[in-house]
Amino acid sequence: MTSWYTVEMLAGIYGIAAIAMQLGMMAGTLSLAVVGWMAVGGYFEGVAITKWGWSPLLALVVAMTAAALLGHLVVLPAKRVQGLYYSIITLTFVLALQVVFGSISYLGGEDGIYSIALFSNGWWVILGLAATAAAAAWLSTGQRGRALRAAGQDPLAAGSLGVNVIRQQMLLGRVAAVFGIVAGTLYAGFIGYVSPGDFGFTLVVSVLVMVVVGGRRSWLGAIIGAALITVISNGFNFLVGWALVVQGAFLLATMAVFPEGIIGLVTWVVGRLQPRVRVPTPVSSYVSSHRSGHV
Amino acid sequence: MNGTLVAQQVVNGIVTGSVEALFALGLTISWGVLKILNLAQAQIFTMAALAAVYVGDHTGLPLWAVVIAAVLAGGLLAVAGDAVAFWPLRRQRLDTHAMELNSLITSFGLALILTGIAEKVTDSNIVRLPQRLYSVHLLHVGGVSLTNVQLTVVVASVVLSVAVWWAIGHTRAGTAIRALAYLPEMTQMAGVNVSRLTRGAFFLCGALAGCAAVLLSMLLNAVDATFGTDILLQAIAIIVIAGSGRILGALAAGLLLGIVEDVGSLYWPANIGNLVPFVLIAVVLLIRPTGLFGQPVTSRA
Repeated sequence: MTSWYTVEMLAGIYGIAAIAMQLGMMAGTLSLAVVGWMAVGGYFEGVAITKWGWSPLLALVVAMTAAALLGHLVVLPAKRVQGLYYSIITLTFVLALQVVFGSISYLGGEDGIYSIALFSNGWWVILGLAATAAAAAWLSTGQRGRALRAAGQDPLAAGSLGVNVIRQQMLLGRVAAVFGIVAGTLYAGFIGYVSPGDFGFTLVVSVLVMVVVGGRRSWLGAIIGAALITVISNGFNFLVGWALVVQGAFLLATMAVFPEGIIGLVTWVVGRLQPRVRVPTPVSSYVSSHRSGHV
Repeated sequence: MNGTLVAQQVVNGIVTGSVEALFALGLTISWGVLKILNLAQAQIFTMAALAAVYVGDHTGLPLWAVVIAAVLAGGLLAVAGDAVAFWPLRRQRLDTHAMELNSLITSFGLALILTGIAEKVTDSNIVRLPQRLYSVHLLHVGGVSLTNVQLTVVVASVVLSVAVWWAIGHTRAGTAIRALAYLPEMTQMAGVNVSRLTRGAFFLCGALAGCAAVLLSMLLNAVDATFGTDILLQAIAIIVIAGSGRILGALAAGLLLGIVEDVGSLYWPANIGNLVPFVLIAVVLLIRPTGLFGQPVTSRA
């Protein structure tokens, strides 16, 4: 069994990645690119610390700046393709990065980079998670949030109402890149080594499970999901070796029974517990409906 | 570069490409007709191969019976997967956009469960079909050599692809399947039992995966838990190149991909070769998102 400290740290790190994916899903696209950016962040941190002798913070700032400037390149094909093809492009990005990193000997090939200084502690992770959650909260409220959700409900209708869906996706591409860099950096600084195998299909699906089970409509859902799934996958002896099956079962059950995840379930329960208030129908609406009926 | 060597690599490319095309066939039918990009197809493929190995090890049945067992295993697994994963989604009556996204997410879950089971079953070991099922001979055709297994794989893949293409274009069930892809509600109104047809389509996709699984495990002589995932990316590339729902297009794209990968491996290092499917996916999606072989079949019943 993994120690609780490890579980808590991993939950926070995966939570950051999950928030990035959740923002995309709120806007109606399943972008898996954040895992690829985690790989970039982890590797950049590894190289900068072990080979160039940079401080972790400097590497993080440089990588975040680069990601904020270049993050939209991965989702540039979104100008041509939508829907499932968009997911395929981002999945392709993740898997291709795995191949590229695995074949560069400077980056250690399939073995990856070892003995990265262990700089991540609880404060780094709490700070990273708080910053990403705050950014996500800012993006999901007010007019920005309404525009994102509108695009998620119906991109065509949102576009006709003046939402620039493509520009939105480019912005979300940059956001996912920056969040991914943060998560990858913290991961490298906590685990101490990075290898191509760490950032592949399995991690993509794990983060997806976290977002869906927690609740894809809210960044809080992403954090709850990350905590729950990390604890379940690492925290119990009797589940060791069954993590994939358990995660898959959680995902299927969520999609079948409460597609809005834990957040959706809680909202529904709270709604049921509150006493039903009968709102008297205003007289004016009777008048107007009768009038329109006669015309 | 030596001409014979190139010809040999073309032959090898046709062999790998044809079995990848057969695997992609189930995936493209599922996407084109049922509007479900079922990533769990890769794990259904793996489980069918494991079923074939199990039947081969524990019974004295001949090869054709093992193939039938794998086809049944794949088909039934696909139908069971539909019952636990996709049927609950269809009950929620979502719009097309949400349904596509939600079925993709759900298929990730199904893939996880089946991967976990495959890892438990194989205990992370490599298993093989027993040698008694088939023997390997080397054939020489004009300077190019290939084995009887390779020849069987190519012939079986081409025959199956053409048969499926013909069945969908020319039989009553095929007409119903095309109608289902085009207008599901009208198909129901026209008296087709849509839920039975959907189950049938799932069975077909799984059965094709099962057949491809036996062929590939004969070809590679090794099956492990990531058996199907290893060619999932090639299959997605094939579908993107061909356009979703294009059956003969998938065959052509599969052969093309196989030849490009194997002939190219003469000229570039192996790890660069691994990037070929990614590059093809990106280029085709940017230049011609509907695939090289025209509009998806779904838009014209």
